[in-house]
Amino acid sequence: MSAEDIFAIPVADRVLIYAPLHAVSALVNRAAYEEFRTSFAPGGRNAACVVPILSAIYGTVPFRPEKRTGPLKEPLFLGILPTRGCGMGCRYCDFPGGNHQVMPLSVAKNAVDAYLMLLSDHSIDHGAIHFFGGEPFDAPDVVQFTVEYARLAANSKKIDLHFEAVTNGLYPKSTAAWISQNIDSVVLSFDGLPAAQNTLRPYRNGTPSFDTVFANAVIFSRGGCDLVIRSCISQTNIETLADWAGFILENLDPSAVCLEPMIETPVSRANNLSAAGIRDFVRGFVSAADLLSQNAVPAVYSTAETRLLKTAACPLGQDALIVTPEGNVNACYQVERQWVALGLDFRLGRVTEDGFGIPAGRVEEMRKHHVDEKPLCSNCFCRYHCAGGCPLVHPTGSPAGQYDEYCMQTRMITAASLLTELGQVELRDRWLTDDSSFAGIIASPTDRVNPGFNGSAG
Amino acid sequence: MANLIISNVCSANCEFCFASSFLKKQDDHEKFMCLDTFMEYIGLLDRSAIDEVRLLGGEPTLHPLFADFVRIGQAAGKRITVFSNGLINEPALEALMDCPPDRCAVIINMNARIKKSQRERKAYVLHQLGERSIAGITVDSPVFPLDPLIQSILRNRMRKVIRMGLALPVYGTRNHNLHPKQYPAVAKAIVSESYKTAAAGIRIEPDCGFVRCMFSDEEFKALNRNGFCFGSYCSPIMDCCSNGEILHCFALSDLFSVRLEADSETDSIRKELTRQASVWRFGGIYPECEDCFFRRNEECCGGCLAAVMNRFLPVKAMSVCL
Amino acid sequence: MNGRNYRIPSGLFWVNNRDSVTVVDPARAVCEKLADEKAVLWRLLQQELPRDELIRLYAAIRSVSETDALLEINQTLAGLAAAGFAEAADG
Repeated sequence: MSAEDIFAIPVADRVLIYAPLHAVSALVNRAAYEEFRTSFAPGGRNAACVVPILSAIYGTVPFRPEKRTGPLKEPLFLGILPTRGCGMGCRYCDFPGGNHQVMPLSVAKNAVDAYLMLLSDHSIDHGAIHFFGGEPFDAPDVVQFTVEYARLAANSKKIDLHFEAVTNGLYPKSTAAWISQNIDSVVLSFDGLPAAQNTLRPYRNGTPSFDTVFANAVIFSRGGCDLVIRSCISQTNIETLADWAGFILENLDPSAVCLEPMIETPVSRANNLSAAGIRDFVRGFVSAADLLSQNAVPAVYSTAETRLLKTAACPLGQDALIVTPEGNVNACYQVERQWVALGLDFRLGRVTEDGFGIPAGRVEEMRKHHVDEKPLCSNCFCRYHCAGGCPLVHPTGSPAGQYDEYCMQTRMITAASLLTELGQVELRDRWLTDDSSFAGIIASPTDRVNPGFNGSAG
Repeated sequence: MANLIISNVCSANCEFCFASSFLKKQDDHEKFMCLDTFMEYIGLLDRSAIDEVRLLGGEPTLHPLFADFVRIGQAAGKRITVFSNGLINEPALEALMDCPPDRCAVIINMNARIKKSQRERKAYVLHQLGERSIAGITVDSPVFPLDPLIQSILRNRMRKVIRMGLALPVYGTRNHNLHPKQYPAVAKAIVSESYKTAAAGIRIEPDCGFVRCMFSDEEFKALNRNGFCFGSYCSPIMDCCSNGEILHCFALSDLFSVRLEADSETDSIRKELTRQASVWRFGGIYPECEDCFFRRNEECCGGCLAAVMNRFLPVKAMSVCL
Repeated sequence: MNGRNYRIPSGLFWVNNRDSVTVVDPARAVCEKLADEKAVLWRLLQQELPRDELIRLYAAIRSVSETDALLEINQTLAGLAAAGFAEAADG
């Protein structure tokens, strides 16, 4: 057996040992850690106190998420953007306002046909179609057409389809009822209790949105679809995060609650909104996660999901095909001008009735957004959970270990989650309360126990 | 199997109770089953060659004639099974203690919502009943550590069994129940807790409404190793009420029932209740049940019928002008 | 082009399963399973779309002309009427 990617993170007077590819974590004192570390040195011996950890590591075959290679055959999903329009006027959103094109049904049809053909050609019997926007249900007939058409076409090819929608919840109850009956997973953006939601996510004309969104959340919760609540956390709602978690537990049955920090934009600054401080966000996240766990609801921070191993942070690099209202096929669902401003190009090609027109090399180009290609991440214990994060908000070209605030947040939450899983809640809370822990988590340029180690040992 | 609902009142207040909405509808004068009706049901059990009297409520031991009912059942040569919240008064407890342990089982709802002041009495009752008692638990959340229950079973020398029920819906009302979407999370918790019960030599017996797909194959293997006797069923329980009505079950009390007749037998009653429910039985609690391998192979019943029916929408009546 | 008129009565229930729709008439203790395009039509009907929108969307989903869509819709409704889940409203 081999041991791969073993990391160690100092936590107060202890050391957290983490081997993500072996699904092994352990907390040891400093003396035991020294024994553990020296066991990897040439001729090093295995002290009795670390044998159980070494046995756990060497006793499992490491699982390394595969890097996609070869021709496009199984995209992560087909993304459909029915419109970039949205009836909400989120105080932090910098999606462009105004009138937006609605995807013609012919474009949706071409996209579904091309996607199912791709799956069928490679004998793949399952697929996924995700709806993003703007707000996809601002063009409900496009969503409905796509679902019904895809279902019929997939049935004839014996392909099982999963439908997912990311939505703002701002529509009549009849639309919510249709969604709960026809969409498998609903990711509902919902920022908190009335004061927070109505401040941060009102209708475009300023009207409060809480009542409508909550009523529809109840429909999703009681209906057949899987409900994920996604809350964007800023200074406006960080103080009430625990109350929000309690409210969710009391009133809704989500399968997960995603808590993501608000990234400041020109729009948010114009509206006097500030991002939550890193310390506040990390502590608030951990407290909310504790509360939600009382009903087995996982709190998710997308770059710190310790139950998942990934090498790409988002659809980018995982062969997702995201079709815009105009028929462009992109690898990213954000608006094009956001990448263009950063000198990036996530355009793959176009879809027509002849299928996906994707020039040679484009898919391979997108696959380079892989954690192995991100110098900053090479020695980080979070690399298989964070994978460098969103390239639009987090540059990863700097040398290994030159961690920034984005990294600090991810590393703190990941370590805290591992401590929770180990039942070390008291230590975790003591460590989180100490402000110096935050500087400490990014102090060491490498977390690797066995730098350069690449084969069997022990 | 038929349950005699001898008491329409209860001394606990469980938000997951699937009987309370039905029992609240009963008139005050029907608070308890009268002796004549009880004897008619004993006749039904005799005609059906059933050698067990199952006493339910509400809280059955609150019935003023509870001790008499136990003695009558015994005299008729029947085993006595009681479903109780554990707050059993002294005369009722004495009657149960008079039964030989192998002819009497008291299934105690261990997570019944009782007052703090009532806990001492319940602890005393459990201690007295000892091997006559079986721990029951209604799972109403995906988090339910069984450690206290295991300790209680061992401390009180209860039978080494946990009867585990899911908090099921009552069609047409809103009791606190688990949504089928929560079943996989519940399944994970059951598997994790089953290691503890197995270590204590305790087996888990599931009540109605479990579905096979809530467990992964790996989880299912672990459960089998840990003494979880999986069964997936939803069929007429036959809850026999004080007004002579026999229900499919409390969860479907507003929909399917028959009247007790002088010559009724449980087989024919079950058949009739099955017939009444049959039109709804083609699916299951999930959209995928329609074409499920486990269901086709009869490893799974598709889940609680009340949960299946909750998926249905009323058709919008309309004119279609083409 | 016009088709016949139909009435969908009250007192029925329906459920959307993975690959079909099932409609139940508890009063008659019968149910009807609708698959593929029939299930599509049922779901569209239950959204109470205006006639033209119903035909436009159904035609797009089925990739047929609106004339052919109307024919198919008529056929499905006639089948539902024969099974007692709809009533012909114009004799």
